[in-house]
Amino acid sequence: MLDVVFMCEGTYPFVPGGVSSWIHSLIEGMPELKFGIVYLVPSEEDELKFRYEMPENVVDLVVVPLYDIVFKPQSKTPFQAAAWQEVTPFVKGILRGESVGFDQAFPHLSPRGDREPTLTVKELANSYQAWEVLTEAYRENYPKASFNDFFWSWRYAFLPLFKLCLAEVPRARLYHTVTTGWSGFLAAVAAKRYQTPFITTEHGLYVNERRIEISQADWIFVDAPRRGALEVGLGTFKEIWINLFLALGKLCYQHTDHIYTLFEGNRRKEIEFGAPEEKIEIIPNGVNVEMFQSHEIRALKPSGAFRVGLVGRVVPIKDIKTFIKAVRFMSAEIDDLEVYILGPTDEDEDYFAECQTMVEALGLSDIVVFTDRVDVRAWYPILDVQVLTSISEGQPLVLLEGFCSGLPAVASDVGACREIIYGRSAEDKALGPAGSVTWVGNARQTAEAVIALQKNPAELKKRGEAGRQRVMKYYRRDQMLDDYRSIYHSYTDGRVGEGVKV
Amino acid sequence: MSRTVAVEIGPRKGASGRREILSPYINVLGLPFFLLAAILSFYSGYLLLMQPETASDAPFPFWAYFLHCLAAFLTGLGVYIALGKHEDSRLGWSLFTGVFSFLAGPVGVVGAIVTYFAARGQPKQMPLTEVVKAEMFVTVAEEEEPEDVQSLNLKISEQAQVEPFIDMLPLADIQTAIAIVNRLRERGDRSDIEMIREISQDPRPEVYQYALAILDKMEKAFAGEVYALAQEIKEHPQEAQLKIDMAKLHIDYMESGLLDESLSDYYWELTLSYLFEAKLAHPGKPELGADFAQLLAKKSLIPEAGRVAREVLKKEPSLIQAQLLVLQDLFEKSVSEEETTSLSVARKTALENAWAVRVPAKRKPGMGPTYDLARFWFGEEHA
Repeated sequence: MLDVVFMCEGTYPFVPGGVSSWIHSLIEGMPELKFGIVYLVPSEEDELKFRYEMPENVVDLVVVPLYDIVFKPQSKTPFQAAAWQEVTPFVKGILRGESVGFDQAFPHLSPRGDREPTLTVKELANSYQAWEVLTEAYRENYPKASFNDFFWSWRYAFLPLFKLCLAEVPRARLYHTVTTGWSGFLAAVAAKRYQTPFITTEHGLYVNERRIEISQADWIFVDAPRRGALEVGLGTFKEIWINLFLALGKLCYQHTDHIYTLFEGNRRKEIEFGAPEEKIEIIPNGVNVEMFQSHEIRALKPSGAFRVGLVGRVVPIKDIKTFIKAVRFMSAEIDDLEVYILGPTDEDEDYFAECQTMVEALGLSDIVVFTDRVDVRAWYPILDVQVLTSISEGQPLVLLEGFCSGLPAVASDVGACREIIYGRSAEDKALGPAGSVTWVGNARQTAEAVIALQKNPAELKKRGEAGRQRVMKYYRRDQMLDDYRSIYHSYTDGRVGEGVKV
Repeated sequence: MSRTVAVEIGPRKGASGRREILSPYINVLGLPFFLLAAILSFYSGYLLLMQPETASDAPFPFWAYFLHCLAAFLTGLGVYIALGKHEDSRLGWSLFTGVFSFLAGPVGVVGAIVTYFAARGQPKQMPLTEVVKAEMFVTVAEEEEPEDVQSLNLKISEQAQVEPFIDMLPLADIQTAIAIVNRLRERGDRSDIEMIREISQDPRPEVYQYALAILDKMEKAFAGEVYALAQEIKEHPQEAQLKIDMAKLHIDYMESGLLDESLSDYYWELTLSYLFEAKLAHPGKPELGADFAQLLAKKSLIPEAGRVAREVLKKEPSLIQAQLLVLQDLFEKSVSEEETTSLSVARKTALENAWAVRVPAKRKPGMGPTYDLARFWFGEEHA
């Protein structure tokens, strides 16, 4: 049996990013434990490419496609009235964004021991009874919406859910999900099936991210607005999807043994989304300070230029365009300016092309360099300021990594950026600011903050030093590893706290 | 224009799986017509039966046929009145029963009436799946209103419904704020886009992220066009018109409200550089000069526009676009400096060039202040 199985979705080991690096460092940092990974993908046909070298203590990797459904034949007893009676409240609750009746529905949806679930996916999707539940839910919740669209929304929302109830996951002493949503649901299912505890760590808030993503999605049908009317609400079908993720979030929060999050802002939001306050604990992210401090400085021609860097993927959420606009302002004030955008450019090629066009249109081709994937450890020491213009972040590791090299940061006021730059506790704040926080999407403010630092080298150095001290004191990876080690061991060694099932 | 509608939306309380779609209501005023139709029809039948078959000099049974036709008509009329509430079907039903009565005589009248009563119970309810089909396929014509009434209604209702909410934005919940962003995006004026830019500074992540995404989508449209034009310019660097188009695009971008004001100076420089390049590529082409002047005017640089337009007119005096810009320049100068000499000169020049459009003697609906200016400019005698 494995010690810990991570439930991942859009992260480790196939998509690089903050969460993936965090999982990787946890696994690497605890060689005494055996890990497994369950990775959720939309379809089996999706191409997966390893972005990390798998540590030796990862002994199992299972890929679960969400939408490739294979229908098993209907069970011999065609009408399972009692089962349907128990499944219906769970299904209807999800449409309302509520998590109700999971415990009652579970035996009918998922196998347990030798016992098969009462209802097959075919029954859940194609039977007369399923049709009745579907039409009832339609009349109760969205009688004015198009039934055709409701039907397909229902199908795409619920089929993966039913499928996850049957997914084969490796047995473990502890399941650890790094988001709510589908992987949170799968963790809850696995934990219930094998009577095992599961914990949740949230970096960004899945529910919030999906809500924003869905509200902006063009692929979900929205009724045409009435002429001249102010249509409040996102429309039926966006609401169905948002309610689905809201319900999955609540289900995960209800059934998880503990919730770990990175900063206070996240904690407050989790409570808002239905997490029990007593389950939440803050464990900040940490970086391997020594690794960043000891790295050989990249040999760059000494030019005396003022170097500004943005470390991140070239994707809309990082709002690279605002950064480029800010560079335009900076270039008017800073004579010898060099700007580096350090991160992969192949994740959203259209966006990258737009950024390139903008660089050209703003006459910044000689100043801005897109480096693509690089070893950032070599870059931090040669930069003067790090900028982060993201419109959404959890606790960005790149700021902490930069701090290891005494690199001050100008970051947008999202996620934990304010805490990282200005400090969390009174003692932390006493160290002084490690840069500046600016408003989201505000190129001018971003540029002004950088220019202010450039014009005051003493302040630049002071803030860099404050960052270095802050990361040494509060954001060390070994601290974070110790915290998680003791959590894992409390579950895997049987030394468990109150309420833990092992 | 057509739109898809549901036959009837929303279940009744207590209804399970079925919805009422037609009322069984019948107007009782139809009944006397049915009765009269039946009597007349039978009577006409009686008259026809009594007609001796062999008598060659017997008169034509005019009354019998007249009463037969009247009975058929009354049957149809009775149905039309009885179906008072079913406006979509009443005419069809009345024609059908009328014709049926006409063809089949008294039996037809009775048959039509009976058929109608039997059919009046036409499906009051239909299964949900049928309702769904109906929702998917039934289309009706949208009521058309005159265009100006439509736009006026739209403007009034938008202002009434959106603007109070915009004022209350700081108090609005997330969904309302997002709805306001959507509405502003639909309206799409410069002030609306500037408002979205303001909303993008809202402290709530759901709101600012949505506003930023909308702004990004709008900017994308410009970025795409700029990119395509830039590629074309790379391929055809001597094509002056492409550079003029690029300059126009940049001005549209500046005017859109999407651009941070402090970047507009840069974009203006960029615009000018495209214009100069275009001019240098074809120094002798007056149309390019006129375009240049017009862009300057668009940027409210009227004296500069006037200067360029004068240069253009030296080469090509018939370019109306340039002449108008000169006049605009002179007019504004005369207003700001309170001197009329240049104005008189310009007016004289314009009249001599005979390009002046004829201005209607009476103001027509829809004519704005331009009419007054034109009247003043060209004088009564040219009206």
